[in-house]
Amino acid sequence: MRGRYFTTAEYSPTLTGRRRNQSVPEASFLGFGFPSRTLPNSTPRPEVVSNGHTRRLDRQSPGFRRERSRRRCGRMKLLTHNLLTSHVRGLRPGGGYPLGIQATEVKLSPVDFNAQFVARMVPKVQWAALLQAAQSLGHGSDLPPEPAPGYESDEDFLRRLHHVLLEVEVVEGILRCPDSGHEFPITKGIPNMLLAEEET
Amino acid sequence: MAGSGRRPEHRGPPELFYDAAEARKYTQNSRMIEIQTQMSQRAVELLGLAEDQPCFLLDVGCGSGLSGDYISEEGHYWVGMDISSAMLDVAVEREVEGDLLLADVGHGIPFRPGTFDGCISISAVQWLCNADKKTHSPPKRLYRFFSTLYSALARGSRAVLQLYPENSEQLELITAQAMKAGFTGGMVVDYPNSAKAKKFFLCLFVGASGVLPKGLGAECTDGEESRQAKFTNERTRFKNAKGKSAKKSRDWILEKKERRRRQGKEVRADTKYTGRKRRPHF
Repeated sequence: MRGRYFTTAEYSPTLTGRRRNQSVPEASFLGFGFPSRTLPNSTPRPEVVSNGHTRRLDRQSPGFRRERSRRRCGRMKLLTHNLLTSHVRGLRPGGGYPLGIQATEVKLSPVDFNAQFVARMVPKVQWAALLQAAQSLGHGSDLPPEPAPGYESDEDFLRRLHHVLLEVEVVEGILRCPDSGHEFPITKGIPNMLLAEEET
Repeated sequence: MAGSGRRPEHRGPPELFYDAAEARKYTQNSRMIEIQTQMSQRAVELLGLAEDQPCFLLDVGCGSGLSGDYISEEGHYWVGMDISSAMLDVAVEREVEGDLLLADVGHGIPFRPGTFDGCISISAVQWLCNADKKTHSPPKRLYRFFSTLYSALARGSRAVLQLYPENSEQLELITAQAMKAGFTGGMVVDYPNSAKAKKFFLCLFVGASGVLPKGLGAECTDGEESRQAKFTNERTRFKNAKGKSAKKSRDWILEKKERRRRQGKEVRADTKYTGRKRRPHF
């Protein structure tokens, strides 16, 4: 590198993680003060702040979809609720399930649909508990009483299940253990599963 | 080393150590972010998940969700557990994709049997070796953690736990409790020759066990080659007989590069230009 001058195309900023002399697509240094091409779609592109620079992501870049889907908060989804049990000491085997939901704030937030993942979750989910939880939040009407055989290829069913499992989220409320009556409060979408020492 | 105060575990319980000030470091310090991301990358690699299949993972000690970000990038879904509410607040601020739980893993993993396709944990498990309250018993808490983790994982899945053990006894305690809970597997050590880059990964298998993956940068220490005496065709010259080669010589540079390669550092390839002088040109 000593004694040579590199043009920007040759020597790309290290932030992009590319090695020099490798061809760099124009998109990768859009945020560094270079004139950006006008994009056909006028949707605002998401911005990333890293190392004090505000970087705009091009819609072709791999980070674009990630950033767009990140415009949402992590709240307790019904999928997590369905798999969660109480872990208070001294419950009967298989007890402490399902946790009752008493929600004071519920939010809907869009999540990218992934048919393969939702189909993989169907055997793991306990259907009766899911129906009960969805009904208590007012979203139970979307679901059939039983998953029909051959559900893997039924996209309509998978989309409705995806909505209930991943898009309905509890922000504030209480989870109650059916056996011990212990209450786990949910604040800002995070269930507090801490136990007092005598309960462990 | 004990009680030196240099290890965060000695300063206090995790819910107090990871306060708002400490949590902020995990969003602002680019070095910390880079190390966390690298370790989670390696942990996910060691999980050996099926290709092109979205999996459901557990992140024990997720903190501000840096490891979770990497999991989301890979196209998997995750649930994170942490005991520090300050760290979880940062995770909520950063709008991570996975669900978060405020929980003490020493009380057990509160999930139904066979829930997860894998579990990762970055620098969290060594906290369980400390008794921060009068009622805490590290072996019991570790056993509770491993036995509930074992049941929460699906058959044939793996748990990869990166940890900083304080000494060999602690390592022995952790592995003994994991084996007692039913796990098979063992320790994978990356860059064993380097003081800083050395990383311990506890790879645990549920059910049918696979082959334990090899650590990075460990090619020279294990394998058959090192156990046997090396046969060389070269005649021993004086420089070899004396030990180290002369400073700044080509041999000295090559030796140094090899040593740094063993430590897992980034080193340029050896070429015919290695060690050549840059004389002034007219």
